[in-house]
Amino acid sequence: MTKDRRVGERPRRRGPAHLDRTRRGHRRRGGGRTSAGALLTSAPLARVATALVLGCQVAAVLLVGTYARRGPRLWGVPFFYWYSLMWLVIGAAGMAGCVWLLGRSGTAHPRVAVAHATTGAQADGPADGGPRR
Amino acid sequence: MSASGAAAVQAGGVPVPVAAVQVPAGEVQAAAGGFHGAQFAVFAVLLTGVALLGVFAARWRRGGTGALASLDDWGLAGRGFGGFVAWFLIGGDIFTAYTFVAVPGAMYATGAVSGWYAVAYTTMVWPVVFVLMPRLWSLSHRHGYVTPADLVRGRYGSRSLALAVAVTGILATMPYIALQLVGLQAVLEVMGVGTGSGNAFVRDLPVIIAFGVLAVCTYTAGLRAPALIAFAKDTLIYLVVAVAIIVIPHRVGGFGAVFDAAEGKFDAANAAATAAGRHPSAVFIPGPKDFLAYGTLALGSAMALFMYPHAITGVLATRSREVIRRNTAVLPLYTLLLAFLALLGYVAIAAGVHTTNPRLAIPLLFDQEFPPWFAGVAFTAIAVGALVPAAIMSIAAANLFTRTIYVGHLRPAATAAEEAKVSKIASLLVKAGALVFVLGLDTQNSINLQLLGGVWIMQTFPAVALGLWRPRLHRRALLAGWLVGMVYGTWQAYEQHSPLAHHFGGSLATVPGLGRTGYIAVTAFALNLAIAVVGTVLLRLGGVANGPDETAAVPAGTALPSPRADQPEPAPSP
Repeated sequence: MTKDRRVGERPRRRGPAHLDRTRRGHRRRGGGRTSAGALLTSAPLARVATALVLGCQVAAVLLVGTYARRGPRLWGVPFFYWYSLMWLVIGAAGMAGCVWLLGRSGTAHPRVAVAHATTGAQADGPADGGPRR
Repeated sequence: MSASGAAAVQAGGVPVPVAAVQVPAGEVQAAAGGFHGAQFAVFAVLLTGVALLGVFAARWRRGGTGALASLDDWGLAGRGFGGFVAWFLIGGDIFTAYTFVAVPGAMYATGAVSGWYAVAYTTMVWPVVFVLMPRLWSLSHRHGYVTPADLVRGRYGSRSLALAVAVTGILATMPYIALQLVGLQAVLEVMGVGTGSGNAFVRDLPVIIAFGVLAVCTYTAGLRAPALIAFAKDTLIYLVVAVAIIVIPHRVGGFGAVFDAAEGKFDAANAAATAAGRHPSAVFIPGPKDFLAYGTLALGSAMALFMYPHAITGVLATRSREVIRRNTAVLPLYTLLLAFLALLGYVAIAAGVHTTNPRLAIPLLFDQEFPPWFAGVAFTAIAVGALVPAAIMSIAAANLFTRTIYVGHLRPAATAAEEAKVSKIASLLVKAGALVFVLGLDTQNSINLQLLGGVWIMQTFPAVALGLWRPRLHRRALLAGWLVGMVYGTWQAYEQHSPLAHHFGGSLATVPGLGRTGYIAVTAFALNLAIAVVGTVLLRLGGVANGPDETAAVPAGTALPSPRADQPEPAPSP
């Protein structure tokens, strides 16, 4: 059973890990921050952006005083109710964006590539070496 | 879904649980009246189909042959679920029948703070999952952890801390399973099943049969059974809620009229309460006094939800960490579902549903507004919604028992096959216990315990969630913090009085130093965390060694870099 699963999974994992390596290598060689493209793939930046996006979502919901109002109504729904739901949608979109950003910058497996040791040593090197710099 | 689904909060800071207004299931019959044959026929046919699905599940997605002879295979379905299955499994796991009945019930009875906060907390829970769960998955996958207690044992090298986490998990999960039966009972009650019989056994027979079938499916198929049934459950529930939210508000004059009716009802109820010398209890829009209560309830419940063992079981059954992360962008659809269901509580007010038991508001609304066959579909959706989480919870509790108590303390040399066997039997015992508890004792006991469970499970947050990153807190400080948090939280919950409940009257208490009421779990957690951090500093200064970290040992030199240790953690501590 486990054997089966691993066989099925290997290509899946090797993909991102392999990409990690080339991207990270590229970043390090070229200094990394010279162009907008490089900025987008910068791992620390992606993580900061993710922290900001997630933090904003939580903070917006927690600041109850900012939205505990009746109006303006939207299709008859008081502000308090539709504003909560709006943040649900924004949050989902934000998290989708974060997944994309982390995937692009190759930090989708931050330092935990070690965790994939079971599937092969190739994952260890790049993903763990990168962040340590 | 969790923590204080049932616990209600009140304007003016007087906590009163919705539960307290409720009458034990089985005694409220006024509005339901008589046996509904057509509804029950549809219900019985659909439920039989679901049961067959559960029996078939044992053969689903099996790579090898033979019995499910390891905990990975039985309790985590081989850790192989992809995004699609995981979405149904995790969603079906944490949005339970009890939620579907209690949240709209709370909206129906007392409005925003006790009901709508569930929407706020299930909005905030996804960022928390985004940050915590991929990391938890990775550590667990690499070291073969099946439960949060396994993780704690490995991470801190402390069997006593692991035992604390396991016992907390089991204690918090048991009443939760029992409450799923309460959801099931509400539906059967509205259909009039067994209500004509004076014999308690006959009356409870449908619940016993449903749970018996579930027990057999879970025993043979493990996590595969609820995963497969979750498809049926959620397809039905999305269908029902979509139809309900489109059709019913339109009938009563649109959402404007619905909210006006709710506001009118709450204003009248508050005026009556004030006239009678009680605190007004209904909240349409939270006032300044309720902000802290609303915020801490939402935050505390969001942090606690994925500390529940059954939520973690769903996460660990996925194929990769990316499955979890990607799912956080799609799982909010379940929150939307919950929001619509919550609004149906207001719709019930506008539609003129009258009941003294808020738990019956939604089933009664469906009974009143839908043709019998579709009401039958709706009731099946809720009933199956009780079975899926109950199965996963019993598996999670059984795994905790097996891994931490049986293997950790009784028989360290147990083989994988023996672990699976013990876990299977434990899952049966857990379910039987819940059944006896609900049928034998007053429902209020389950609700009290579930309220406490939310407070308790939150106390494992420092050990489990903060244990995912470095620097590690000290195991003894964590244990001390856990103990203080548990004692403080239990004591505070016990002290809460309400007009109808002498103890455990609600999940809110005055926060020392702030003068406002807040969620007890968060106050206890703050105390817990403070002790853990200060204790860690003191123990480190005193040179007391922390336990060995099994997760650091594997590839030499790959110790995780400390500068990044706390970086990806914005969500839990905003």
